[in-house]
Amino acid sequence: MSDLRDQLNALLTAKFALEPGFALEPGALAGDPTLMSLGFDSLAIVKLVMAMDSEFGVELDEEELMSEHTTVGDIVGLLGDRMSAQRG
Amino acid sequence: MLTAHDTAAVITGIGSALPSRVVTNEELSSRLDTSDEWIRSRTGIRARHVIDPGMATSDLGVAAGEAALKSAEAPEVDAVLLATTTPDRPCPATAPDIASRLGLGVVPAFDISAVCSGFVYGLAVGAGLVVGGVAGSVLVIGADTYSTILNPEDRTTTPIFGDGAGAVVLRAGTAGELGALGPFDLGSDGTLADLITIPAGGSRQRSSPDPVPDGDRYFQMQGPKVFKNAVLRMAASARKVLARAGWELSDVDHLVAHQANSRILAELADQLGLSADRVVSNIANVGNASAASIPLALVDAAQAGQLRSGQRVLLTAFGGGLTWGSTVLCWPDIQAVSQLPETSPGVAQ
Repeated sequence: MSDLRDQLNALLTAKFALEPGFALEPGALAGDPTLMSLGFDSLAIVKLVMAMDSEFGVELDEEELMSEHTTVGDIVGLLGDRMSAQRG
Repeated sequence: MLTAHDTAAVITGIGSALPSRVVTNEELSSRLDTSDEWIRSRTGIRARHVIDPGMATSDLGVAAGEAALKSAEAPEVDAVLLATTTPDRPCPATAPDIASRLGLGVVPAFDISAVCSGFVYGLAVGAGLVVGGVAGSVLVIGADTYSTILNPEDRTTTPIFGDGAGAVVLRAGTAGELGALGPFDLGSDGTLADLITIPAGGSRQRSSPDPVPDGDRYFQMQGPKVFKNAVLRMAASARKVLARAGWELSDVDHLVAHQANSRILAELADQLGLSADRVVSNIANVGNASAASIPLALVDAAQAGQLRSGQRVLLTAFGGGLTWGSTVLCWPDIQAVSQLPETSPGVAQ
């Protein structure tokens, strides 16, 4: 699971560090931040869903991530569940 | 694949028309719960043009059409097509009125309804008329006045859209010429019609005994789902049309995509692996002008010297329907013309 978290952190840093309005400074991904605290809005969540689809081959439903309480750890959980199911 | 000697529709002139009134983000912020910073960071838009009371889509279409005819140095064409979501009235079509006001006589004229993909659909239909021998030349106009369909209290749609019109003149030529429209890719997905819609005003609502819910007479859009579909559909369509044309992505000098949102443009370029300097964008100054979006971007880039004769251009659009479409061309040696629209003198002020 920690490998997946590292991969997701790398993806977030690569895809969103340069996006205006985002708070992805070094250390921003420490702990378990919510997407909202990182500066994600609905379009950014869709962009993340598309990036995760390319990176991990898992297409999450953006609606699942739209809650203001969704954290990076929640996404790792969803990705892990979906990847295990796919390996099934 | 087309060979250089095949008959093709060739762009011989291009024009645009923007209403003189500019609405800045600051002005919108004074009446909506939003801010310049929020709109710019979320959409890339700084300002948009908006018609004055009494003006209509046809007024913009006439000005853009006149500009395109001047650019083509062609006083006449054999047909007029108008791509629009905002016709002057539900019936009849607006194109015949535009044709008459341009002094084009009794030429065939009709509207095309494909929302923000309308201009690319219009090019495809116009090219079909030309290549099929139905018309020797066609004026294709994209014109919209979304200010007339937006809910003024909706801060998710009102900042995004602007009014405007753009037009091109097509004539019969050969596929090897500069300005020849290449192959097309067009598509639609009616299962997602609700993502971009004005629910009321059509037969479904008019035949219903139920009262019209608040907001249903206005344009509505499900932003996140539209973002995803726009990026994926335009990327796939662009790849298809390039394959049909026998071009590589590295051959493309300029991507001129529907100017929906700067973040859609950035993500589309990213998906296609195109660097930002190859992406034409004028959304900061005009917003999303729907069917006028692509010709407005072309005129802007041509007038700025960014788009030059002989360069390879990829056009791709996405809109309600859902609809999408793409084509390619080598930019012709033409002078883009802009004209200020005027309210039809036939309208009581």
